[in-house]
Amino acid sequence: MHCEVRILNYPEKELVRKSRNGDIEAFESLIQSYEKRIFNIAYRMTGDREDAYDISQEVCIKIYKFIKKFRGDSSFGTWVYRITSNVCIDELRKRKANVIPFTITNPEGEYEIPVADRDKLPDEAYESKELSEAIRLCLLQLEPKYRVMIVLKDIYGYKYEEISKILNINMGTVKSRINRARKLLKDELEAGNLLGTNPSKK
Amino acid sequence: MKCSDAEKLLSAYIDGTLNDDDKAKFEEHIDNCSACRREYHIMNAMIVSCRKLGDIDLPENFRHDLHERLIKEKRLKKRSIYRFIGKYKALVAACLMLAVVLGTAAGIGLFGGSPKRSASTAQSQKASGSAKDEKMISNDAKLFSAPSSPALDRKSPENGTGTANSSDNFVNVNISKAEYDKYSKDIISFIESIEGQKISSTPLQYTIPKKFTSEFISKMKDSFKIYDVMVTPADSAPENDDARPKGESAEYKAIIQININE
Repeated sequence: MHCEVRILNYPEKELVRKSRNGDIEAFESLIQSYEKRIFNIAYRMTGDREDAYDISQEVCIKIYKFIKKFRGDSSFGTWVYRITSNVCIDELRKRKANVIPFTITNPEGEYEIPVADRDKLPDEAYESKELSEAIRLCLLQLEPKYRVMIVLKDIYGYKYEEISKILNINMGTVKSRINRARKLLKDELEAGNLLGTNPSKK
Repeated sequence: MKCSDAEKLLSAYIDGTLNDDDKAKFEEHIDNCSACRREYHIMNAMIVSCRKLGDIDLPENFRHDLHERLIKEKRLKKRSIYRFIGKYKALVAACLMLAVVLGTAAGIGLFGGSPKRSASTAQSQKASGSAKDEKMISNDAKLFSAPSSPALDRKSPENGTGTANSSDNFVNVNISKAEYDKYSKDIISFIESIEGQKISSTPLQYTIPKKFTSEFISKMKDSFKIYDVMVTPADSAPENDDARPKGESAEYKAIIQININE
């Protein structure tokens, strides 16, 4: 069953105001600019479409429920992605407590990390499709607090300052976590023998 | 520069956020150190690949499912407000009594509105007097139609303490003494539930965030059968939106004035 969401042509501020009064139509118009990104952040964080679906629905409901608490100190988008990140990280934490394994538990068994062509230079190797896939999977091996850094910074290209606002952590922490997250991701890729071994280019 | 230092700067170098000095040192290092140069190339390529991951499409049923859940959520929300009022009736009444006592003691409503604008605008509001309000009401009453409109002919009572701003809604609730005795506590409970905090007002005038105006009116009509509610919506003023300070829309109020007709 499909659903036509009528898009109201109001400025965002007005849609926020109407949503605060519980106006569903206004809220749907408001959230439609964000829902795909919400879903994709959840997808990158969990590596699973169904989980991403559940999380992003929950995020949208939370936003509707708590929109009265949005004070306009930050942009609406920042607030939306803050809720998204928080829900994702909480969810991942809960799972860890319940010991539900992620997609990759055993690189030799369940899933095999594709091995890059060793004759290729690193740059070329990384550009291959297999490597994008490898990144997607290796990302899931990182702790959520580092994973979210790669998602926001390297997949979506947010600036340090925006990330600082979204995650509500200071700039120094953002910088050091990004540095660390990248190092960890690189280590994961290397551990899976995904890198070209050619020591240098140029 | 040591390799360990270069490693720390690598991320910032790729993002282009190093200062000129560090940048020059870093470049000098990777020109001479093949291991770090390799790290740099790998890291750089990895980041390029991340950027290429791209988005996947929303599931087809996403909006439909969300719509259904929003409707459920809205129903729940409504119910919880009523439950809240029911549960804390006594507490709310006690707070109200306190507010009344304090308000009377102070003689004036120091509680309502933000201190910034109360002083100056209070003056101007008083100066223009109730004639202006009367005019506003009769002009705009049609926008928020009250089923019975004999109140248009009634004289708008004195404004009380004027903390009103031109961007505020003004809500006149006209009720009889009997109605007031019967419903005042419930009305105040409701205002309290909107505010989520203690009432800060004088007995016959309350301030709520403007965005709740329509909720307030429908509550009056639906729950208390008080139809004689008149709104002067500030939204009708064209300059309104621009005049708002950024991000401060929550500060704009609806002033609720209860008028008791003997």
